[in-house]
Amino acid sequence: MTLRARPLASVAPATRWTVPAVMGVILLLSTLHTLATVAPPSTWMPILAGRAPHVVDGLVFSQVALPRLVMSWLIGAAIGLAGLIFQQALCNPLADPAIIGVSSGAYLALAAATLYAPGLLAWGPEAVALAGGTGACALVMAVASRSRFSAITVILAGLIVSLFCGAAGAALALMNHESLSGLFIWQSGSLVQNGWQNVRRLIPQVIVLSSCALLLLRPLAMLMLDDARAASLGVRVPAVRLAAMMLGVGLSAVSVAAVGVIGFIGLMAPNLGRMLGARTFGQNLLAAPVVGGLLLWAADQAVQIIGQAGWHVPTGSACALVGAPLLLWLLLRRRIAVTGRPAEDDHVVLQRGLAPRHVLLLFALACAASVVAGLCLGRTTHGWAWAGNTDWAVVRDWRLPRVLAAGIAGALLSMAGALLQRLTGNALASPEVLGISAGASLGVMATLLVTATLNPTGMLAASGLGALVSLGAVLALNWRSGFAPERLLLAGVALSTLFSACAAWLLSSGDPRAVMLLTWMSGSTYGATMSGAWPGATLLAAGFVVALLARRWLDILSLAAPSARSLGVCVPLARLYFLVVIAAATAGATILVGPLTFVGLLGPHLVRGLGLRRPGPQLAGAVLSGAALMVLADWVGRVAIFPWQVPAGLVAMMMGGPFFLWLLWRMK
Amino acid sequence: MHAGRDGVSCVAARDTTPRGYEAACVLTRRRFCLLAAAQGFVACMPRRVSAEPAERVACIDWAAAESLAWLGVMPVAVPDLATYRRWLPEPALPETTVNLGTRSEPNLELLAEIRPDRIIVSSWQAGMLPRFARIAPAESAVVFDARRRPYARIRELLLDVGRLVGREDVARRRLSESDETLDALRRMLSVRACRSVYVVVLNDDGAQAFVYGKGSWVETMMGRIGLRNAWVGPTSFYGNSLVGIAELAADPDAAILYLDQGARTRRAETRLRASTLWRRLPAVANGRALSIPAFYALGGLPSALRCARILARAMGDVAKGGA
Repeated sequence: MTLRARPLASVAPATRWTVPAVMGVILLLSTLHTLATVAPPSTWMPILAGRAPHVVDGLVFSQVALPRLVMSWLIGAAIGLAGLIFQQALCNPLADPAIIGVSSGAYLALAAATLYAPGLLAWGPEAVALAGGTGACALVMAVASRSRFSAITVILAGLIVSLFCGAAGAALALMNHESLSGLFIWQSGSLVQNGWQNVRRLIPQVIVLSSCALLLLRPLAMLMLDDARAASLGVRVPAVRLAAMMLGVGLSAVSVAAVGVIGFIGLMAPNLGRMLGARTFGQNLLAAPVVGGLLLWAADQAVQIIGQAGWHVPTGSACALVGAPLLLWLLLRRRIAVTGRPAEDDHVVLQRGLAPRHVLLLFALACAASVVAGLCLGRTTHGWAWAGNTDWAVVRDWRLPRVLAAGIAGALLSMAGALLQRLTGNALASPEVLGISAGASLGVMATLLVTATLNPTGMLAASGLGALVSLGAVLALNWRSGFAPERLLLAGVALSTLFSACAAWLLSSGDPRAVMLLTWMSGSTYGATMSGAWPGATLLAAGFVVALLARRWLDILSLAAPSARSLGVCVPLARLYFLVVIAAATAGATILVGPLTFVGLLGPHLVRGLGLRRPGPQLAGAVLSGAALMVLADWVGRVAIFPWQVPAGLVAMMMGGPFFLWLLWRMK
Repeated sequence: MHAGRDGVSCVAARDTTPRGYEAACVLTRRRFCLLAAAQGFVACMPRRVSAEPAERVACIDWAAAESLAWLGVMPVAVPDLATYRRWLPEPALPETTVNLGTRSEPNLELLAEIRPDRIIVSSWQAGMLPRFARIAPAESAVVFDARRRPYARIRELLLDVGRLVGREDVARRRLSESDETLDALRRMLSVRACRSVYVVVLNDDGAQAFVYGKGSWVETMMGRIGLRNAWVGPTSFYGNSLVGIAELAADPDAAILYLDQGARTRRAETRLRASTLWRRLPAVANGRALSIPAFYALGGLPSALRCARILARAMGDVAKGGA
């Protein structure tokens, strides 16, 4: 499926200039106010002339306040430009450095360098961030090139790569919490400056990269046409696209290295530029950096003014807090049109000619084997031990709840993933990107902030409530579009980004409870109890039966909406029906093991790769394979680096991520 | 509902974990412990469960672990042992101490295998007490709470763990010794001129730092040895605050002591050397900015005393340097 936005309804010419002008004046006034709190206006001239009446105040003015101001302009402009270049190169109005994985790749590289090669950081963090960002972006592009850079594939691949880098980064952070606390601050995006060094370093980098963008002006503008027409006009499309992507990655990497992760500006600036009347790429090449600079300037001023009132919010988190609702609003306003192709059967065939019975039997065996390993094979201080000769109480008290929780959650997620992939016809759809687990996580985080201790019951209630609220939001946002799959996923992306920004903010506060949050976020079965297993199992059984009862709809829904309608299915109603099942399953799994697992994506692919096509066997296979994968991941996490325990979600991610990317690579 | 269910499993766990003393006694105490945990009486637990001294104590909480070690009873198991040894070097734990993995998710199977007599967890883990209580009577060590008097709490913690292992006399002796030490440090410093001080952890970027203030025992330690905390601004629940370097100029007479946390501090120093603002800060310009050995600011009384000694020695150096 492809996603094309209609040209934006730009605002009336009168407001086109007044809005930025009014905003500029307000910003100027608030900046004067902020600066006046640093040093009285009467002293500004002497300070700039180097004759400050009070040395420290003068230095704070000239070395902290002014560089911060310039930095906000520079970074805003750089990210705005990067966003524009990405959007142009991918013909995708929703591309953004954070969304296509550059920021998280840079984060992972910086985290690894901090731990294993601190010398590199002293030499140049930009190079490290650039390497990481380029790697992540290259992965996303490799995946997306197969679908000719369709917008939704780029975004989903970006989200998956981001999740993967985030998981690897979280694993590093869990093992080395004390050494990486500085990175959390960086991850939440801070514009605080000390001296002009950063600005002086950034200016030439930004100038060189933007001149390169100017050189690419004409060929890039041609990419607005489709690839074949652009090629017939003499544009070497792949080369131009590659060059543009490299430029975009370069711009985002230097800004990420300078101030950390700042999201949403890169997304908003080019779109606002278009709304304000920059019709051509050339016009927007000027407008987007200006709007980006204005936006970040505004965000930073707001953060500083709030900061004076005692509320310290990092600028990057503030951008996400404002940006996520803006993205949702943009989604609502823009009526993103979906060219409704029927779902392609775009999956890799792993093995042909297996009878569905045999495949199901295989999955059942794998499930049984991993459960036996998970229950019986463990490590003690004396090495490996089979539970036969150790204590059965260990199995019953410590392993059984975890194996059950992992299995049930894996089955729930895999079932939800299979349903969602059938529903959206998108091979990259997974329950994590629906935003429901992000909602559950936001609930847990709110509890963490409000109460001092982590009470399992409270966490359960909070995550349930969060899942419900986000489900409500997802339903409300998509009601009018008749639950068009693309918009569902994009709303989910916005919610997930909002959550990760909030999490970064909490992690940067240096709170020991943040480690618990980090562990929970990584998909851990540690807190599993037997009392949680029964509701989970009931939910799984109910969801499975309910989905199976409507398997005819499932078959029909994978056709395009008009054909489905002509077969007598009320498409929105059928979508709502499955959406409720998916949401309930996702919420249940999130409550059991936390928000991050990869199983919802991997399980259904395994099943389809082995030739289960009909809805019934496919759902059954998804349930079994999901359970097997998650139990296996949990077991590996418990024994791999004993006595340390890696959360199951992280293990699933580390094992499944590369495998999944390989699958995508081979996809036709 | 929760307490009931866990009570059942607690009974079930009894026959699998034989103890040296009477099972019945253990059981009632366990039940009581669970009840108390369920009803939120966690904070006042340690005083009540002192029927017989525990010998093998597993400490999930580092503050409790070092308090216990200071009384001469080495904890049998501690999480994240390598980092513990680096951050809380004195008193050193023996080689036989078992590493339990992460602090947020200590390995329960391993803990059950070790069979401790008693488990002490951190206050923010109080929600998990019933699970630990299946292995052994568990209680939580509260250092940070709404009253924000962590110094009083770490003194109580020392007495509590002393009672737990039947060494209350040693604990009381340690308390009076620590008071004497602090008084001696105070007398030693009384002749020095410089009194106010910022104690900070520099962030890598050289633009921000965590500064300790109200709600942290670092501030109490300063007061006890006759220093004054120059940071009077608001702080988080754990008694620190992330501030811009420029804010360390608010008190021009103060010294700046920053914890040496290895590579991270080296990177910050490199950045700061190039900073005009840092060089012109009154403390830096007058040679009153020094790096000090790292201490663990969320630790117990031994960490607090270590912090006091470090601060006193550093302020002595500051005075010499300034003279």
